[in-house]
Amino acid sequence: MTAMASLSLFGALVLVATGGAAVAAVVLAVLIVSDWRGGRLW
Amino acid sequence: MENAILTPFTGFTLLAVFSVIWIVLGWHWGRKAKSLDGYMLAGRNVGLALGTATAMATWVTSNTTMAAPQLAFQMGIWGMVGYSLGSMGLIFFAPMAERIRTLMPRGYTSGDFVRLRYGWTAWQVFLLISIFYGLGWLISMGMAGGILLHALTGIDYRIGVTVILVVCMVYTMLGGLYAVIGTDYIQSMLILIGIVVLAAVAYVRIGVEPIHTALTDERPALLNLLMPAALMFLFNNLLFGFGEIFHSNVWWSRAFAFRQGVGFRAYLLAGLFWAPVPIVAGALALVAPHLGMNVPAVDMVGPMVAARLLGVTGAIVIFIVVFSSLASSLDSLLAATSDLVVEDIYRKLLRPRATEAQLRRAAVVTIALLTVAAWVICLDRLTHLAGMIAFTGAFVGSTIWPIAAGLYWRKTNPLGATLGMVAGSAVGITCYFTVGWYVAALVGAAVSMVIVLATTLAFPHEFHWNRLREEDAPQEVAS
Repeated sequence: MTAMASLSLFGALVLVATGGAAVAAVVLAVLIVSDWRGGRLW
Repeated sequence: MENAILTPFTGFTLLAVFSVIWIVLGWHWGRKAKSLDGYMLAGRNVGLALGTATAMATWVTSNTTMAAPQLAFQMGIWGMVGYSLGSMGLIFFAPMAERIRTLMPRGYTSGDFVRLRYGWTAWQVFLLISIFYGLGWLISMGMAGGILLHALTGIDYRIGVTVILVVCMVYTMLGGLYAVIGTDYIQSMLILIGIVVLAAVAYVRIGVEPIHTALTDERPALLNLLMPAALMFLFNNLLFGFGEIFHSNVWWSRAFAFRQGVGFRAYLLAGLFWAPVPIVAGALALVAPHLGMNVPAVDMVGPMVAARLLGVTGAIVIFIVVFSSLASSLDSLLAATSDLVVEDIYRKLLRPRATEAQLRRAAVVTIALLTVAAWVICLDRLTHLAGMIAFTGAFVGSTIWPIAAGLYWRKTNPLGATLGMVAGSAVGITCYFTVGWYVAALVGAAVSMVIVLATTLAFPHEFHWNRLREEDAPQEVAS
């Protein structure tokens, strides 16, 4: 694997994972508001 | 500790603040637990948001936030990705959770399933594995808590272990599964936000290219996609995740606790949300070569990098992330293991006519005893975290096939399930010592699979699913 391909793969992995974790936090926040407003928390 | 970034005073202050928050919230939510179902299973009516968060946060253990950086530092890219494959256990458990809820609407534990599905002998073997694993997990997290506090604040290891175990014990005793699930939501948000902030600051401040260049120059093996030990670890961790989630009452109790129709979506989302966490935590450790850091103990690499990059703020953020990871798993484990002991040993073996009040008292006492047992063993720091977890891999790997086949395949028989667990564990442990820690779960699962498949085909059994519907619920009136 060339140095450039290795760099791209490494960068993409870090970017996708960090972005994915950020999206997860946002979705959890939306879900809790939705469940709370709908009386579906527990 | 010489290199601690926070002072012991700051450490004790943070501990005090979060301990008070968890205990007050645990007590507050615990007031909803009027019945045994409320205390043990949060009323069997947990919704999607809390369900997703509790499954995700529980699977983000201290091992995810501390051992994932360690594995990234030792095994590179595949160490992170391999750890991330632990999410597949949650994803594959999603349909099983729905099926469990449907087949056993009044079930309490995974032990209930094994007893009703396979009978007495398999049940005893399963209980041994499950309780041994639960204790191993408790110990590894107690140790991680002590290590973290010592690394970041200089607080004595034994004091750190003690405080973390006691805090989790108190709020779990006060509120049961309501307290566990409620605090899990807040902890999951703290974990996600904390790791995103740390990784974003590190990679934006330094840049991906300099970090990659330092890795290429100083630790090129970490970028090697064909590292044999790392590839073995990847498959081992995948199977470890399956085994842990399929067998452990931590996950079964949630399947029983989630409202009908929630289990599939909650576990699926939890798996998707969990997958990036070990990669982000591991990516933080890969900054160490760029920083020219000397890492004296590899299981401290994550906290050390965060503290080095962001000083006091970084140390505080990672303190909060790891404390949340610890609490979210410790509380779940205390509650679920206590359920297993109370339902499968106390009620089924010792006091079949116990009332709800007696069972609830037994649960509180069991939570306290489990905490004391873990505390005593934690006081001696036994081994590195990853090795500690992997040791139990053989046992949990051996349960994958008995559980999965038992849930979907009526022909699977008690003999195959029992032999699969015993032989899988024995051979897996042998390989742990003779080959390496990274093959224990892999071998345990493979041996168990061969035995379960062979015995099912050779001696097909006819099981009727309605035998899983046990209706001997405890009496509500106290004696």
